[in-house]
Amino acid sequence: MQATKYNIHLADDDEDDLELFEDAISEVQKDAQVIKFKKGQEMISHLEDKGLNLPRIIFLDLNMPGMNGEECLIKIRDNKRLDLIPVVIYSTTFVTKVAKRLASQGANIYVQKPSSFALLKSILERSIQAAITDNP
Amino acid sequence: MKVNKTQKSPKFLQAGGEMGRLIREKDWSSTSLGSPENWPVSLKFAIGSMLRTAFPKFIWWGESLLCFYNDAYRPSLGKEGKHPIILGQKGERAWPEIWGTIKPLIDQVWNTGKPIWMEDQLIPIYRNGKMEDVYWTFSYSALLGDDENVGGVLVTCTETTKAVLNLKKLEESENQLAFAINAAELSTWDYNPITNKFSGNQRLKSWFGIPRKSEMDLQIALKAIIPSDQARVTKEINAALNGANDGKYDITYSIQNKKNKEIKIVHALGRAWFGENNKAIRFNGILQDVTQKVEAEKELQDAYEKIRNEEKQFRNIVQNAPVGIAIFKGSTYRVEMANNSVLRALDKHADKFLGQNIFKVLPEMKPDIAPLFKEVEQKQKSVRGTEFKVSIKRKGKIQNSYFDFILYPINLENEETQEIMLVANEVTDYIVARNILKEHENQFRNLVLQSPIAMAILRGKDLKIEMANEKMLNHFWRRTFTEVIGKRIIDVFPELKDQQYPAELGSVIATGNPIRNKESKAVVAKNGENIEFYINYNYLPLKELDDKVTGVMITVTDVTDQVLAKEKLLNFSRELEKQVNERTGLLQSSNERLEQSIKKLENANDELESFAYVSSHDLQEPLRKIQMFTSRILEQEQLNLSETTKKYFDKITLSASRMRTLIDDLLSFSRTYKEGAKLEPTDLNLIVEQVLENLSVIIENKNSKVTRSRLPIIAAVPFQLTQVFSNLIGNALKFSYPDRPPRININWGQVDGNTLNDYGLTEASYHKITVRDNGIGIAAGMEDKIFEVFQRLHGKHEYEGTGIGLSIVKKIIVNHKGFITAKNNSGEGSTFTIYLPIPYVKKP
Repeated sequence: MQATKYNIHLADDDEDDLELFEDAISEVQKDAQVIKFKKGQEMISHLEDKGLNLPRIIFLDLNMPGMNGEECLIKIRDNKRLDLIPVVIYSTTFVTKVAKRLASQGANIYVQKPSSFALLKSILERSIQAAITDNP
Repeated sequence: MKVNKTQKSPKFLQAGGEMGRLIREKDWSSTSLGSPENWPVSLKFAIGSMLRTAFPKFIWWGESLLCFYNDAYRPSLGKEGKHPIILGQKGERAWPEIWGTIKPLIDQVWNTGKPIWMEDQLIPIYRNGKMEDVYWTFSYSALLGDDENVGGVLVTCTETTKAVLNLKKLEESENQLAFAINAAELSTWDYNPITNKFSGNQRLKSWFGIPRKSEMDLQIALKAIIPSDQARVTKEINAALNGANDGKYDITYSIQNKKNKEIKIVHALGRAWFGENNKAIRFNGILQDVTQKVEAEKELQDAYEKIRNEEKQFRNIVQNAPVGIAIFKGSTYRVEMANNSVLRALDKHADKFLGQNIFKVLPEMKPDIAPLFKEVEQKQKSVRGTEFKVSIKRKGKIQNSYFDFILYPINLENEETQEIMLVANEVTDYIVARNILKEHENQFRNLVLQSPIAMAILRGKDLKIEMANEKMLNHFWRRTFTEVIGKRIIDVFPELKDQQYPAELGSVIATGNPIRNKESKAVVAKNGENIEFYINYNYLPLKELDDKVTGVMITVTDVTDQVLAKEKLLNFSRELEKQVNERTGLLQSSNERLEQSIKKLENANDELESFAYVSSHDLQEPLRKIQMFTSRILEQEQLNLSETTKKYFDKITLSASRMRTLIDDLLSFSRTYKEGAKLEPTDLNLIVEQVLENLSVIIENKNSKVTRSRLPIIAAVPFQLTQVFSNLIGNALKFSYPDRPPRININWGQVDGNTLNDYGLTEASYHKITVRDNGIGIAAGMEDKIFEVFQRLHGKHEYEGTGIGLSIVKKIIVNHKGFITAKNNSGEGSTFTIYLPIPYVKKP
């Protein structure tokens, strides 16, 4: 059933988080394949490659060296081909003001990185569900 | 031929009166007519009708014009004259004196048959023994004879001599009157009250300046009277016309000629005449020009008045003259006359002074005065004295008085009629004033000389030193009085040439304006050495009576010490100012440094903020990892771990979790300090909804129930209010009994600000929001303490928390100008009450 797997993009400079995220997804979304980027720029370059299958959903960390999550979001929303892909902000901190700003820039969901794996799994499951429902 | 008297008289002669009898008795036989019985019928008729007429009639009959006349005619012939001789006589014989006059008239009638009428004809006739002028009014008319031709002339006449003579007399007297009136230059006037017509002679009209036409209305004539007299005259006229004073009229008034504006004073005399019912029918009289008379009278009166006034004035002058005037008569010097000045000077009343012997009345003056009187008598010349001292008793006290006087002799030949006139002027006040002035002058001089202030007087344009006091001589001038007196100041002090003082002194003399200066530098030389002063000085002009400035008074004060001290002070001030400037510079640089510090602090704040962010992010990051991987270990290695290890992992998890909360809360608390956060309309319903959403997991887990009323929209910083409700609701969930599902009620109302004064709240009204729970409540006496930082009321492990939450809540509410209280409910749990001001009501 390899062919039916869909792509989830995650940009995060934290390798631990990348790993934990992939583990959690593999447990809750067996048909999803996580494509990880350590830098925002890498992901944007990848997405702009037109020959590629587009991800079903994109997770963006905010604090990244180089192009940060917010800049990535703006790039994605500026691109008509990527415009409709749900974007979930995935950050350690939650600041209301920032969250509002991001929402206005086209972020679909904002989730705070949880402190337990169980919680992580539950959050990812729910947020993917919500994002896909939001934008099937 | 004798006439038979018994002969029966013919009928036409009967009842013919005396003339009928005379005709009858006359012997007519010798006449051409013959006996009357045989007279022509026409004659008989004519005579018969004549005799029976009472009007005077006369008939000439026949060619010879025989005369016949009746009784009525007879008187015209007088007592001695033609009657009765002319009866039956020929006309020519009977009237020789007038035949020349009347024959042509008779002939005219005889020839023409037409009558003639003549009025008041003078036809003098002989009667009463002489020729008389007789006036007749008569008619001659033809009498027809039996042959129907003119047979005679009938004269019907009446003698009008009396009437004519009366008329003549009247005319004459009128002429005389007119002459008299003219001669007296009188005007006449005549007024008919019935027709209201007024007329007068030409003189009157020319006086009045009214038209020469014969008559006019009285009112027009009255207009000539000057306005101020019109009413009075009209009143008098009416009085006369109404019969007052028998209609007599006597008044003097003024008229003005309308044409030449000449004014005359006239005296009117007149009288009203009354007809039936005492109604005035005529009012006339004369008018006399009395202008000159009145004016002359007035002049006379004026002259008399003037004389009287002048005399009175003269008497007044003498009586009130400021010099005393008195006349003493005879050897006893009886007071003949004394004017007010004398009486006043002597303190006497006229009643008790005039007519008295002077020395009897004023014995105290005798020693002084008597010799003077004697001197006048001996020398027969006037005696004068100036400032003569006399003792006079005034108001009961003897006083020394001074007089200038002249005693002047009149009629000295006879001792009894001699008179001495005194003219005296009291100069006591002047003498006293002069003495006082002299005294003042002395005092002033002493004052100047002894004054501790240096003074000097300079005189004339060349500024000669007239006087200088000790202080001036010793202190400033360093000269003796004899060295300077009478010398020009510039000669004494040649060094002044280069200083402003001589010019200023000259200007005071020239202009009369004083000069005053302060702290002026002056240099005086003594023995070739210059002495310097700083002086305050005054130059005052000294004026004569005619305001001419003849000198300058100088006052000088030495202020050298003050000026030097002031200079020192000034230097000191300058020094001080310099220091202040320096200090100001320092202050400025420290201000700059302070500003820099503030900037640094601001930077530090920014750094702190970013530090807070870094904390929240970078500190949480590893912490989260610890938690995450711990949870993974526990999850994946559960079966391989011993119970002890598991317990340790639990402790790690718990510690990490507490640390995380601590970091979050510290961050929140630090954020509430940020000033200037913008207030915006915040719907608390949405805030609470969001908070409940955030807490939904816990709420569900604890099976809690949250009820709430509608909440208001308030002006707030939204995320801070989120924090408040998050903390309060979080606490309510947290501090619940483990065995009881939490019940939370959020409620809203409004309260009057006056009931909240104890909390230091001053707005008019407040929102009151309560958060009530059924939890463990607050330990007794800790209701206020729970809002302090790090006040934990429970054991660490019993209830999780950092002890910062309520402090943050209170901080936020206070920042919003509100207040929060905590209280235990009477049953279970506690209630937190928030008060927030209602600045503008915006109901939900």
